Amino acid sequence: MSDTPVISIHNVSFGYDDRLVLEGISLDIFPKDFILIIGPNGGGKTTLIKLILGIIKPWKGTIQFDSSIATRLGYVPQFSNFNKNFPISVFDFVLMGRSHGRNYLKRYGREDKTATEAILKRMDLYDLRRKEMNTLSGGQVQRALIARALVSDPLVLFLDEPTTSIDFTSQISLLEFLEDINRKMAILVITHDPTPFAATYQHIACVNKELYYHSQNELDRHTLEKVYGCPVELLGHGIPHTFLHRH
Amino acid sequence: MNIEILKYEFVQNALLASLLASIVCGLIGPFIVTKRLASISGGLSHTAFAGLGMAYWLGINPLYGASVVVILASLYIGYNEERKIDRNDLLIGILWAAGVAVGLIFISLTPGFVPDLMSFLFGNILTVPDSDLKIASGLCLIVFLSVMIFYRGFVAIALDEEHALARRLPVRVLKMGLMVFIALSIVILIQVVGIILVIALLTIPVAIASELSQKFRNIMIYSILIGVFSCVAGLIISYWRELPSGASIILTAVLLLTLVKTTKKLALYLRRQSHQ
Repeated sequence: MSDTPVISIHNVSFGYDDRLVLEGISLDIFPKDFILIIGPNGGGKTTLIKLILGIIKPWKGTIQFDSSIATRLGYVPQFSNFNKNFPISVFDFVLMGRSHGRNYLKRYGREDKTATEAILKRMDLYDLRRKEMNTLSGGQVQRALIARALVSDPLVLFLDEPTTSIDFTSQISLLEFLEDINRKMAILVITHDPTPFAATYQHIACVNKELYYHSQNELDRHTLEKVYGCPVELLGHGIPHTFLHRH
Repeated sequence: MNIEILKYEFVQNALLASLLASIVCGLIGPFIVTKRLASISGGLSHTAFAGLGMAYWLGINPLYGASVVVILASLYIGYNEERKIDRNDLLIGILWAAGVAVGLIFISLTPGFVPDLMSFLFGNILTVPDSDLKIASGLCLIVFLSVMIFYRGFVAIALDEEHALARRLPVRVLKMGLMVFIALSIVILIQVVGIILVIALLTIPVAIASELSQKFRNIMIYSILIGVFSCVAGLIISYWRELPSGASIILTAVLLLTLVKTTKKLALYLRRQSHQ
């Protein structure tokens, strides 16, 4: 793995009104990294992702990007956070992933359309390309969101709770898919249930206002309890445990 | 009905005003509907009434007065939404009531002739002055060009704001721009059909167009055409039956919507029958 991080987060703090949600967060993301972000609800996981993506701005601290990265970030939001009733075809929806701050005044070009066709084929959505987004099933919408994130050939892919509301077999194929694209880009996954990723992740970041960062094999019960605030079953490496809270 | 009527300038002005209003509401309406800004548009149209009242009292062109007030209000609503200071729907309700109250007070303070309340509420397309038409044409051109130039940006923020932010699009500027255009469009439409029915002309043609197409661009085009049709047909009906012009236009649009929906349901029913 390369030595220079593509994204460097240094001492970032953020809150709403007067309440701190994240405090003193520092994290380096390296090329082809695979990071799981876990933690309790309201602990700041999604907020952290939004800060990195520039959706919100930190109160304190810096987020630095390697020069090549700029707009090469792909974002797959939680399944339901967009306007499902907007009249748009699958093709046009994914095509929008090609827009960014410097090209939105121009018309879409040949490469935009070619890239969209390619990713639609890759995600097995090509036959649905003329269908309206609001006629798609949950799993299909999920694939379209991923397609939109990938169509601009990102260097870092962020996924927020990608395994919620998709069934077990879909989780397996999602994992295989992520393993495959991890060869080309860093991946950050926010998840409630790290079990499917147990064998694949390289680093785990536990976020609960603060950040606790570990590699595989390093994660211990003590840290997890601190993060979740209650006794937890250990995340076994290579042996997928069910991640349970014991009260 | 005699075709000679088209020779009259007031008829030509009425038709031109309809065309301009239909283009604007066809362009802006789909964004209002998809971003669920319909109630904001209602609040803004009543704020416009306050602006008109103040303008008459000050003795300046009412269109300018209304424009300034409505733009300021729309920017404030946009700013408020960003910061989540007050609940937006509460603010709109307050603007709605305060707008009418302030407007009425200023009108009552103004000596001499002031257009009556009915024409504020329902408009009077048959007495649109030339100067207002010129302003309306200018505004229409600006809105048309802006939507064409910034189309990708506007669609992006209407569909998924967070994603647009993540892609580094100038979301705040685009949102403010959209709010300003809504504000200006409302001011134009007040001339045509009055305040109360501004929302109707911004939403009913879009509702009809959405029944006919699922592509955003087509919805915009159909909304424009349906708007023009409703205005022309409404004017013809109001002339033929001596009914108020603004109300006739709206009723035409509503009837058209009912017709389209009923036809679709009927077609669906017949198709189901044929499968059995």
